[in-house]
Amino acid sequence: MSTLVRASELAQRVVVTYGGEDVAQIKDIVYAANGGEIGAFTLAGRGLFAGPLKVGLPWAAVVGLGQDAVIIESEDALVPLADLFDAADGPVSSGRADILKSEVLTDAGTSLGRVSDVIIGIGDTQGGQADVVGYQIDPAETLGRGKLPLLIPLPDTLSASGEHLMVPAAAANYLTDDLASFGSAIDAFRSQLGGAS
Amino acid sequence: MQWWVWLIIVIVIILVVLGAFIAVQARRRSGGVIINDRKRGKK
Repeated sequence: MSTLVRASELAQRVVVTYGGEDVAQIKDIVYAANGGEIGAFTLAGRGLFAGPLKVGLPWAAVVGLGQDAVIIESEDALVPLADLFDAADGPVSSGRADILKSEVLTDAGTSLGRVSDVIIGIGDTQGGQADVVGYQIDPAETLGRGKLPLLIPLPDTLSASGEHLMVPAAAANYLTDDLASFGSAIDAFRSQLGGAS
Repeated sequence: MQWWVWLIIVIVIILVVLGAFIAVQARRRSGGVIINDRKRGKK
């Protein structure tokens, strides 16, 4: 079982070493387009005058994730951003896209709304995998679900790009506004997809 | 103009510049969710 958290709850958490040194704060969450696995965090410096850092934090280097801080062994765990994004084989700049405010479309071509947050499932075991399991969307008017944010589950074989985020049309049947019950919505949705294939 | 008018103008300019700096810093530090789409451009 995994714990569900919103990406916005992770952003701006302080990164602290075992030695108690306060080295940075979380800026962006970086995940893989294929599979949705969380790969790394980009970082910003601490203090009003500090901007984004040129180093990032690989997910594998996180040894503890608390309510207020992310724990790493030491500052050596941070790696240059170029290494994080070049870890496979793509270009550094053209291969990245912030998905907040991107439009969510079903594979039938219906707009469900725009992404306002991302739901991450974090494995309960230390060092476990973390995956993007859903989006929080500001629903499209055509959906007729009011203006309150809704949560939409994603298939476990997520495929995404920055401009439009495609989801199976069946995902619209599992929209919920409650994070506590979202886990069961994800399971039901994925079971239906598994049964259909 | 009176000296205090210049003083007020200078103070207003300083406040505007400071506000703009803080706004830019807040934007630079604000977070997002990034797809690492390593295969884009190869399709």
